[in-house]
Amino acid sequence: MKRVAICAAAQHKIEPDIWYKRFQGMLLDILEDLQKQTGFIFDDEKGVHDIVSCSDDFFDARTISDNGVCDAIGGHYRGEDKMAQEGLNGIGYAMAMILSGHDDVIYLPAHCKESQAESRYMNSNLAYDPFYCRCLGLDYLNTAGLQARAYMQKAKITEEQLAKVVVRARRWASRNPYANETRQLELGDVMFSPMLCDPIRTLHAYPESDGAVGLLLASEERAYEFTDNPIWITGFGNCMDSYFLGDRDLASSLALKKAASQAYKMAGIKSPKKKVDLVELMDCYAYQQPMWLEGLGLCAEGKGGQFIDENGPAKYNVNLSGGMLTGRPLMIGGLYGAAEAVLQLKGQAGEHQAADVNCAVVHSTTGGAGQFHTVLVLER
Amino acid sequence: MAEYFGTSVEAIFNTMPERFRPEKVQDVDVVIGYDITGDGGGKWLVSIKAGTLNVEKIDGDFPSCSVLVTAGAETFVGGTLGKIDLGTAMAGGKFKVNGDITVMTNIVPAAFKKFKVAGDEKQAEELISIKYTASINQRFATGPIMGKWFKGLQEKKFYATKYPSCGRIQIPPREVCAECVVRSEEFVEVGPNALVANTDIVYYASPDPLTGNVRSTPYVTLYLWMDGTTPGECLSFDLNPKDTHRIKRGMRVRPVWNENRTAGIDDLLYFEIDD
Amino acid sequence: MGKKNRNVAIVGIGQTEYSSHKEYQNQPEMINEAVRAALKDANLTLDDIDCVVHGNMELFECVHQPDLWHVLGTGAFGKPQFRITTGGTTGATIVCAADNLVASGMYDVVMAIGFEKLQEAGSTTAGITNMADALWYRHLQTGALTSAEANLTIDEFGAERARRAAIKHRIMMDKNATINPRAHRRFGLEYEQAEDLMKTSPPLVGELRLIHMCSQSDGACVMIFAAEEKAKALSSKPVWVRDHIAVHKEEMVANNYAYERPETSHHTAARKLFARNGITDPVGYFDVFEMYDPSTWWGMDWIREFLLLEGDAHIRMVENGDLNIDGKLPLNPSGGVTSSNPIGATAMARVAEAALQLRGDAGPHQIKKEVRHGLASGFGGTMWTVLVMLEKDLDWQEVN
Repeated sequence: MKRVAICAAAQHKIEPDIWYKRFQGMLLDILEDLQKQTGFIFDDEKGVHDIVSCSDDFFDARTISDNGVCDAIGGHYRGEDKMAQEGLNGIGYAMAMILSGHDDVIYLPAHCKESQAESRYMNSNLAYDPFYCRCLGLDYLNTAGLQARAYMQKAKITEEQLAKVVVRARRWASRNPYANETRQLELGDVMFSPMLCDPIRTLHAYPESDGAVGLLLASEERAYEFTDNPIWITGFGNCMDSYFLGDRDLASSLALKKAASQAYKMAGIKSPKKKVDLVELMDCYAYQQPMWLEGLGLCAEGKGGQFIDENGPAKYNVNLSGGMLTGRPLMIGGLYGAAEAVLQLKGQAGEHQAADVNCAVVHSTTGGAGQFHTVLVLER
Repeated sequence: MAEYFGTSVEAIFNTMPERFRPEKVQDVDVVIGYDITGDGGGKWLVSIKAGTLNVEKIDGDFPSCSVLVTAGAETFVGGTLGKIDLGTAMAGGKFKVNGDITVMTNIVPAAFKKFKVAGDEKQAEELISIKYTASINQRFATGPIMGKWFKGLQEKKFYATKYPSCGRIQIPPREVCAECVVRSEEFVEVGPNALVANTDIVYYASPDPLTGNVRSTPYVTLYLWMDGTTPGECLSFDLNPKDTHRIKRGMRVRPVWNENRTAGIDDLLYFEIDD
Repeated sequence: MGKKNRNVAIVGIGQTEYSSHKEYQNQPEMINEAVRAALKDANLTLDDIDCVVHGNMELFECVHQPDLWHVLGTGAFGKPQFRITTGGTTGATIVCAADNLVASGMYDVVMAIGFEKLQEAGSTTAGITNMADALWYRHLQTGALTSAEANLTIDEFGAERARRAAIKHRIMMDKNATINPRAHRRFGLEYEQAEDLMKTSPPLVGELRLIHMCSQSDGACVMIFAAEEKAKALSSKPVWVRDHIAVHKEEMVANNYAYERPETSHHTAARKLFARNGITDPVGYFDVFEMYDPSTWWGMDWIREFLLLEGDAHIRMVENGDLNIDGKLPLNPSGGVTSSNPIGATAMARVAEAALQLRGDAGPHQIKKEVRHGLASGFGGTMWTVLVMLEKDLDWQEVN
């Protein structure tokens, strides 16, 4: 199979409330950044003529949310498909568009403001069926709480271990100019922060965030027109789990393991523990960091707590951007991870650059308690 | 007497007084003529005024009515019982409504309890329907470009964006020209008057999704070429109701401003014919 | 555009009946009905499906990320799944997506699911109005209801001729719908009713009358796509996806009716798609065209746009019966969108119906002449178009 590259990535600074710009303005900033980096144009012959956008109608409170930003993403008289799941899936889809031969360059712009709605959790409550789960009041926070309880028991996660995850995330975020929440914390701050949704404490949860991301993807034949160091997408996988919480083993991520397995298979990776240098995973809540690391095969099943104490996350360069935990908008949490991984692989991550990064794994999740997972493998 | 679906046209009208719900129609003043044709049909006049009902069977011509319903007997009975879809019947010309259709869609269903054929309740499975309004408040950002548009309205001005690349002068202003995908650099003042390029006279009352209020009809939506903008740009806005039946494409219009302006869409009331 | 990596065919089609009385099914159940029908049609089981693509317009039913709940009916459990949504064009977009996913080599068999349950929406027109900017145009838009096109058609051809042609076109569509067992609205209209309907059908907006406007339907459409080798093994009548194009337009939808009108997305899509496929005479080339026509006035105008005609050629086609089911180029033998519009499924149903015609098993509304080249369009957004070309035989490609 021929290869597809991410030529460049542009990130908008993530903030709790970007009240002073609307989506079109944020995306125009992203576009100009990306065009400056790559020189790409919109054009039927040599430029971009198909776009994969990413946005969510609920978060935008707008039907056909891509229609509002069409002008700023080059969609006028061009093709544009809206990825309605978390944005990392857009990369998989854009890759398919290129591998199919339909396109050789794709622009991928994405946006989301969690601050627009009075409550991002009320949005997620509407993901549940109107007859039962919604009436129970399920949303992505309390389903995470249920999962956290189950997982923490299985993997013997302690309050102190969760606190270590958060403190480390903040430390790295302070070196990332795009990160949202960078205030430094002590273990005690986290361990004694008020309960948000037992056992998830306020400081275990990702803060409300607004942002936008853009990527330029190209076929192997054309990637070098846009960059000297294309980053190859060598693996992609996604997978859907059951809907009712009771149908799932909440302490183990069936969907993540399957998605990771597909991605590793495509990338020819037999031993992720040996091959993977860097991880950007979507940890909305602190317990998810060890849990998703287990699902990704980088930590043994049920050993998440021990993994943290042994500095496993540091060993695998997990979330050197600060990760989801320091704040990213839900619908593009994974895409921000992809942008970060691209910077790391290109050696452009500045103060939070890791050494010897050749193979990165990027992860995202959609739905309550990780019902749906996506895994991407990027290599130099 | 002719029977349809286990009942008759007469039964429906005869039971109207006992099914009447005056509390639901306190502000209503309508006269509905029913011209039911075919076997078992007839002419009825149903008047609802100040919470009182009058139903009478008449001969000869109908006096002036708010609405005149013409239908075959079977269609009328079937529609009343829900066995025939009235929307389909209407579209197919089998159920005709002359006059204000909202009398039939809004007032009649409110005014009367549903007509049921005796014994029917046991046969049909009860359909429980729960209506739920999902409401999540939103705070939308204008950004600086759209913000300037609203500020302009407050000052009774129309601002457009101009681009360094193409020649487009667009309203409402936006960050980027969709054609060349280049950032706008400057604002220009345009209008205030405009040419009417197209019109929509709207009879169908649809809800405004932001307020839930049903718009009062008829109203006219204008498609305008505002002075000073390029001819491919169109500002769509309301017409002063007084000009509803006079407006034609090719006419020129001027804006009418709200006396209280708060930098929002209500600052501009509507456009009216500039004569 | 480069050479397609590998050929893709439609090997399974499943549609529910389209109606507004599906109180007996919830959303996943309705989808599951179409999924089972498609699998049966393809002679496959869920185990054979490598990937699922799902789409609808979620603000209608007000379910956020509905694919999560719908896994109960989609069969996507444990499988890769994508969700792509582009307004009214969604159904056609996910056909293109399935084609891209299979052609890419990433998946061999992909199942695409489009659906809508408008009965569970508050108000369809209000739902569509929700696509406009909240601070400006949302107070002004009236869903998809407009007479602007009709006004211009009347300007060009005269009121008498335009109205007659429109109503004739509508009645023709209804005649097709009455012989399509899955169509939602089948009025049983006769051409003799034309005069009466023109005068008595309640006007919605200007010249746009109730009779001209699409229905609000519930339903699901599912299609299964397979790579060439598998397709040939699975199906005796694979329908090949030759090419497709999507053309979106800027946010300011009112610009479509500006003093100087822009080229329509329909015309742009047709022009580019046909040029790159060497088709210079679309009317002569295609044997069936399933067009997404939300209203008769739009549908009639778009005959000219899609078929790259000039002057009154399209009106003459309507007047001469060229678009009838037994005519030169049958248009919407299914009855089209004015008879059934389950929005998230509608655009896919156009491709499905065209594919059924190419297979020769559409049912009572099967075109009698041989159907080898099919065209299907999707519509939505701010006047966007998705255009798909289907072929009965794998014979259009250059040999390398």
